[in-house]
Amino acid sequence: MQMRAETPGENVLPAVFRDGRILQGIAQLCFVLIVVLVLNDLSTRITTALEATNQSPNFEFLQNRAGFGIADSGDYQSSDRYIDAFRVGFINTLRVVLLGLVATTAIGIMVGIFLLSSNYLVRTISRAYVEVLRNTPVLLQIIAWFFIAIFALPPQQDAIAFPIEGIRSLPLLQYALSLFIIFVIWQYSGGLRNLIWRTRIRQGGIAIVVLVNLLGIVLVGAGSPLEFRPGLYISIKGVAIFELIPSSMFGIWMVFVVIGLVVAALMWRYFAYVTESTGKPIPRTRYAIASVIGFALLGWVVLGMRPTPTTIAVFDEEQDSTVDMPYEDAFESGLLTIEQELEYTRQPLIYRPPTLDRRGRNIETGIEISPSYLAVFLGLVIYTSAFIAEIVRAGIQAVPKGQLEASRALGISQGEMLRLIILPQALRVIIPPLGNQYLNLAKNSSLAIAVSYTDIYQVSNTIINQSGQSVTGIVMIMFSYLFISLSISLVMNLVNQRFQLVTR
Amino acid sequence: MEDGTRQVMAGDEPIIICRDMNKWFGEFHVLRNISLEVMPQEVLVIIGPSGSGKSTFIRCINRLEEHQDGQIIVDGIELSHDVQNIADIRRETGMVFQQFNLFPHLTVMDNISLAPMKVRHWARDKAEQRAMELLERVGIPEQAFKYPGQLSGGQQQRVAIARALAMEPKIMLFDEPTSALDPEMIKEVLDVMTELARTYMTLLVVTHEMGFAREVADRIIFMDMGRIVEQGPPENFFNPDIEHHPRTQEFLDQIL
Repeated sequence: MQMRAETPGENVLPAVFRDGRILQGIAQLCFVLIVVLVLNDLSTRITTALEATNQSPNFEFLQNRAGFGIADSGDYQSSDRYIDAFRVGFINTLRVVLLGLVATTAIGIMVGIFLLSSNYLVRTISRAYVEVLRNTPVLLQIIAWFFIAIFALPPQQDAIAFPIEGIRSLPLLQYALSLFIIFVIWQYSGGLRNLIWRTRIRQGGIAIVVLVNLLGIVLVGAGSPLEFRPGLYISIKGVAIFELIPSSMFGIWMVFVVIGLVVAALMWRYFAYVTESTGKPIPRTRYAIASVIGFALLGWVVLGMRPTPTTIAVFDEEQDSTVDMPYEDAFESGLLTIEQELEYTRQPLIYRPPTLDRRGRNIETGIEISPSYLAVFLGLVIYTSAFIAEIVRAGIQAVPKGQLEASRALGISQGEMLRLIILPQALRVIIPPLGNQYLNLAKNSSLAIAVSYTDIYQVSNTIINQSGQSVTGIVMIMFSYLFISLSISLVMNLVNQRFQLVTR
Repeated sequence: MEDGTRQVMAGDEPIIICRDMNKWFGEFHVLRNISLEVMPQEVLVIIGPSGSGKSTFIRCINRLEEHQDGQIIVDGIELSHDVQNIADIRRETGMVFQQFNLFPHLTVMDNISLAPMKVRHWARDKAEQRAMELLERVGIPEQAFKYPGQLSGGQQQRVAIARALAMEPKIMLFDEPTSALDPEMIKEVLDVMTELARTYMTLLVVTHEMGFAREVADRIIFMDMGRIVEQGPPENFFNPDIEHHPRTQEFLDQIL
């Protein structure tokens, strides 16, 4: 101030207005003022226009009767309210996004690792996968999947079924014995110090056992006839899968499973402590898995000993009346209602294969997945997986070669090098762009409208058209996507924090 | 000129034997007929111009590079495609790199104790106690719980030496350990290496530090174009009165 003030004419402005901080503050204030004025004007105009047509924004209309049906809707009826329709749409979006994130991550990581494979064929095929998929629009891919579902799949009465229905004879005893032999080979060869012979014995032994079984050679025991009923149908109407319904025994069985989990967690920590204090390596993952499976099986067996009622009242269609009959007979003849079966069964979960109703049109039991859902799901998952594959490849390649050399020079094994050295450093590079792809998948799910999948955007569109509540509708769509996106960001930021490096 | 190897342990078997070793990078013949024996407790310094194959040579000894012809026997174990032999040899040799190659996501302590715990199956207590002893030996025990990114280059290289020593190797390989360091940090690393030489460990050092070579080496190997041109004890090698191979003379004239 003193220095500059010497020259006359430059001192026109008081010193306060030559302070950079104050100038910046004034500029920001002006900007905020302009934005507020513009927004205020805009909202006044919109409100006036809507009021003129008697459509001023409010949320009360959500309680009105919707009056339209939704394809993938669970228990929703067209007589339900708008808010219920909106909820169905939101859940449908979540169904695509949540399952889609898991699936696209799995495929993306796999293809990403394949991109770095030393096998020429694997590397080239995965490169082609990535280049084709990430260079075509996702909308096109979703529609392509929809057309594949509609034109390539058989009509419902000729649905592709798996496993094929019928009675087949399988040498179950031999299968059990084969598994046991593989287990013994694996355990025995684990003691071999020579890695080459260990690999040879393991791969060779298992190959022989598998080959004998695949060729259908029956060496031990006779085949036991087994009745197969399809658990999966694929047709033009989508995919129908069996369902597992928890019975009245499910709660008690879950107690066993939880005990198995607790024991597994305790063993996990105890064995970690033993390894730390003695250095002895213990395969704790195997023991933990064995504990959970063991307790689950134990629970299944214990519950199997529960007595069932000797007689039960069932409705006999032929006699058109309720009759008492032995429980086993009722079960065999399929006269038990699902409620009775759930109440008196010995199994914690009841397996129900997909069946059609009498007219052969709609699925009566089992889980149904519509072609629209499949198209959106596959389109998003496969498109996004191509980007994730590239991110994973780049992340692994970003770990300097020197890190691998240092691990090798120390004698660290290939698996431990991947787990302890490469992955922690690769994840640091992978996680931020991975989060972006997750957000892309979530937002791209609004393309569901192209194949009439009833996601939040499609349902809200119908609501807006019917009720005229466009402002409210768009605000609700916006907040729904915002909620999903911010949740993903939050999780990814938390994960990201764990992998950051400490420098300086 | 006669082989001037100081017989450190007379009558002992050589710990490293190379016979007619050859290596190519594609068409490029990097190592030509290298034959060499290293005795236990010997300090071998390998010098030569850039691209002479000296780094490639010591990287062959723990199989970071694969040799295509000839034989390498380390501590009685022959290096081949046998993964078990490779694992055994790597357990006997420690290596220090030009670029340190510390694990940036692990603390100094974890960097040092990781391999003993995972490869030698030591208890954590034992591995960490040993790591602390080694950090004291290289003079930076106070840095144990920092991350590599928080240390200076010289400190990082000393951690890298401690990390290699933690596996209790019989042989230490140094691949230009001071080339990436500021001049004032070079001394602290060379001091640690000099101290190591006094403990009678077998050392193979690729370096451009002629002072270190002159003071510490038992034998100096001069390599050029993938060949061992000349070898001898430092007092002969740096003696201007002795007649050298013309290529050695040219190299010595440039650096001395």
